[in-house]
Amino acid sequence: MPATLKKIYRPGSALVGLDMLSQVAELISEKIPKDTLDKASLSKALHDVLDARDDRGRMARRQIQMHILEVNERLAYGHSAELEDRLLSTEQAAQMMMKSRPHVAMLIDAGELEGASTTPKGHRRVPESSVRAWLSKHGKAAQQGSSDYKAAAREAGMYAIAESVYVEAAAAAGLGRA
Amino acid sequence: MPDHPLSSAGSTYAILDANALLPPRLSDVLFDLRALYFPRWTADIETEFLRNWAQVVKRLKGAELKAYRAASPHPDDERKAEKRLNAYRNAVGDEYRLIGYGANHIAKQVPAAVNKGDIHVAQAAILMRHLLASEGMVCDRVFLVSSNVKHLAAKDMEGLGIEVICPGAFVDLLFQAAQDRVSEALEQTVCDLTSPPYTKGDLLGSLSLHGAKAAVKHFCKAWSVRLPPGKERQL
Repeated sequence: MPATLKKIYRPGSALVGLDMLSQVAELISEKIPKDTLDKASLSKALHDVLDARDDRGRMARRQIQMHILEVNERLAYGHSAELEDRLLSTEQAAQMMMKSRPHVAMLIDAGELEGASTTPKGHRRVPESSVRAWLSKHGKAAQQGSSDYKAAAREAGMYAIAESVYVEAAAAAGLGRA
Repeated sequence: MPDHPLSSAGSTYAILDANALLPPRLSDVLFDLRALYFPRWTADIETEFLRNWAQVVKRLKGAELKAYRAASPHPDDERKAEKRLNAYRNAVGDEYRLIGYGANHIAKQVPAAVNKGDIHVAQAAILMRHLLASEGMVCDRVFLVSSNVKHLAAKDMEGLGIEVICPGAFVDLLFQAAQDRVSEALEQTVCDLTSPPYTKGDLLGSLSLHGAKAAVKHFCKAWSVRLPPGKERQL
């Protein structure tokens, strides 16, 4: 958080409302029905998200920056956001999907993101609607099962067998050994 | 940007062959070190894992193995193998899976010297390299981690920007690049396994078996462990 904001930002105090984020929060709170969420907690939530030093914080800041740039661009050129299905770069799609660029490029090449194309210079482009469709299908997919691979091996009795047996069997099965 | 010690200006990707996923002591280490690189594999590699899992765990050979396969399915065994595989997937996240490696523009790049049965593994690595190159991510490194180096035309693959390497040598590279982080991960590997108990000597014996010479030499000294000469310690 910049030093100037640090000075005036006190969660839960009357000083909330003096920085730029609280002005944004005020605009958003006007849209929220009465008595469901107060300005201070919304402002604090915005700070928590946008000031965070972790990957999520960086991602949120990037997305807001990108959104502002895009809105400005649309307003400047008089485009209607509702009518337009923007073509996104892999970087933009990756940020929306919270995936890496190579992963998004792979999904595009494999036809998992419909309507994608390549520019004459070889850059991949994908319609925003396609990314949104992908997100609605895969975005909230919950992890199935555990990530404890050691518990899985223990339960299956894999540790009761010497590692050399696996190596020999893999070689015998044609999985090979240098 | 991820903190990958083998790629100071980018990321490190490693395609893990079935023979690296199957031995549990080795794959535990490879996944315990996953903060140092991005593990990747394919549906075909998973199929090989599942096909060979019961053969190893149930110690089946010859006629027994043939009868077992003939009597397929074996839902209980399949569930256990799938559970281990699924835990790998969940530990890495959904980007583990490479798809589209059978595409013509990938397939035609596979060096002629790659063994027929290993073409899909080579294709997965070529796909990864292609995706990175096409996105301008030239500082990233791609490894193909397999115990089957001789069937994967390592020299030809190197010409495509892919480093084919045996699992132990990969662990050694990580160790040489980030000694403290590897040390921390290996200590955790031993701590996590209590039933049956797993000692530092057991771990180093397994790593020795997979060819991690530099790491084993260092940790034998650091942890005051003496391995039986030329043999993996039996569990």
